[in-house]
Formats: sequence, structure tokens, C-alpha cells
Amino acid sequence: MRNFEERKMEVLLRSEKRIKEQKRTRNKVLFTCTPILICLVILSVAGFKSINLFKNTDKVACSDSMIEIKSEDGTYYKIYKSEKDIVNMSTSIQSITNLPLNCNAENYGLRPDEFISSKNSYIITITQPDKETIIYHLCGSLLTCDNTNQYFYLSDEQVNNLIISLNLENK
Amino acid sequence: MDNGASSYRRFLDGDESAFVDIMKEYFDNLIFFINRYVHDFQASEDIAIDAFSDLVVYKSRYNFKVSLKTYLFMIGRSRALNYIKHRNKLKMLDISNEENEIYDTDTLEKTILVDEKKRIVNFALNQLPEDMRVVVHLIYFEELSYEETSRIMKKNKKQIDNLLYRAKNTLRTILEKEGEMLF
Repeated sequence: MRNFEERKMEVLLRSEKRIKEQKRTRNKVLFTCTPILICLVILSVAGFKSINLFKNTDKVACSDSMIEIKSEDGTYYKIYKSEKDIVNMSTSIQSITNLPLNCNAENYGLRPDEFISSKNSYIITITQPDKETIIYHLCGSLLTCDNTNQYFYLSDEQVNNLIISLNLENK
Repeated sequence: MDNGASSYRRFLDGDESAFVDIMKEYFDNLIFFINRYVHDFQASEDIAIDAFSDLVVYKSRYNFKVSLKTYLFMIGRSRALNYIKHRNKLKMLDISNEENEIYDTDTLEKTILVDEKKRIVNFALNQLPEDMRVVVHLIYFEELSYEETSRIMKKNKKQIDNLLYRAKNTLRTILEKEGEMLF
């Protein structure tokens, strides 16, 4: 059996020991967790940045791409912004402009002015994700590209297909 | 009397002598109480030292809502139960000297149990189950209220009342057998 002084000393010794142990444990946890936390923060920040970058490029692509169709006489005007519409319409136009059959309208003895003044004429403006625009004129069976200054004389079937794909039949 | 709360407040304010006062006031009682659980004087003393060291290490844990004595006994009980759990697991080798043990316990009993009646009850108390033993100890020896006892025992007042009633009946039977009528 300890006397009172011994007990008191023992209490103080144990307390001191436990306080030191607590501090040591706290430091150990701090030294172990801090680098892990820093790594996690760096990784998460990098991750968020890349996600945001990806989202932003998506937004640019969606917001800037569009197809604008208007009639020369001002009776028809429509803008298509959905990705699906843009892809469909661009593909159908490009399928014509990429054909080897394309040739100058002069080959057919016609001047482009005659087509432009035609009643059913439309201006098709394709705005690409990089904001570059390609402007086409569809006048009857003549499709002209303002950017490349090329003229494409279309067959009836091609005209019909284009009218359907550009939703011009509802005019 | 605030059962040590003011002394502890003084200790928190930096008065080291206040802690000595607390130890003088409650150390023996705490050992005696813990010994009700562990039945090993040296272990009880060790647990009591740890309980007091808790007061020094975790200064902010005591919220002054209960008396310091109650708080100390709560720590003591919890530590005693932990000790029993570990002792049962490890089946520790007992290296304590039995003669010294009896001497120490007797000395402590003489210090705390000045009243002869209490000594007789204490002798009979060892034959009761643990819960009854502790309830009688807290209410009869430590003179704690039912509320304080219920806090330490983590039971409600009704349960304490029932335990005490049953403990008294059992004690009466034991003491009658030994020719003593106390209650």
C-alpha cells in the first residue's frame, strides 16, 4: 500500500506520461495525415480543373454551333442549335458539295445572278464550333458556297433530299 | 458542501494544492469503492490513480453538472469494469502477496469504516451480488443520494430503489444467520 505522497507522485507521473503520449499521438496523426491531405487536395483540384475544362469545351461546342436558314424574300427564318440537327444538315450539304459532279454553273450556260433572283432561294449559314461560318445559297437547283465561291447544280433528287433534310418542305 | 467541485475549480485555475485536497478527500473512498468490483487492493489502488490522473489529463471533461465525487466514482466504476474485462481475457498471473493484501484491505477498512455497525455490514456485503453490493456501498457507506448513485451505476432511480430493497433483505438474512440484527 502506497502512502499519500507516493500516490500523489504516481498520479502526477502518470498524468504527465499520458499528456506526452497524447501529444505524440497527435503529432503522429498530423505528420501522417498532412501529406495525404495535401496530395488529395492537389489531386482533387487537378481533377476538378480537368472536368471544368471538359465541360467548358462542351459548352462552347454546343453554344456556338448552329445553322441559320432564311429565305431571300424574308418569309422564312429558322435557327437550329441542337447537335443532332446540325450534324444531319451539315452532312446532307457536305454530301452534295463533296461530290465529284460539282461544277461551275457557267458550264450550264447560266449566270449565278439568275439563280439568286429565283423565288425559292435560301441563305444557309453554318456556324462551326470555332465560330467560323460557311454560307450557302440554295436557289432552285443551284447551291452556291460563298466561302469557296463554288456552284453546284443539283439534280431533282438532290434538291428534294436537301429540302427534306433542311425542313424546307414545311414552308 | 459541493463534493469537491470548488476544489477542482481552484485546481483548474492553477492552484496545485487544491488537487492535493481532492486526493485527500476522495482517494481512500475511491479505492474502497473500486475494490467492491475488482476484489484486489493493489489493482484498486492502481485504478484509482488512473482515475485521478484522468482529472489532470482531461481537464475539460468534467462539466460541473454532477459533484466531483460522483464524477470520480463514475470514472472509477468504468475503469474497474474495463479492468475486470481485461483480467478475464488475459487470466493474469496473480503475483500479489496475499498477506499484504489482507493487511492493506483491513487498514483501508479501518480508515474508512470508523463505525462498528458499518464494519459488520461490510463483512456481510461481500456475500451479495455485485450490483447490490455496489448500491449498498454508495448509499450506505459513501452516503450518496439515489440520483448520484443512479448516475454512477448507469441505472434509473427505480432500479436503484429495487436493488437496495433486495440488498437489504438479503443482508438481513445473512446477518440473522450470524446472530446480528442490523436493519
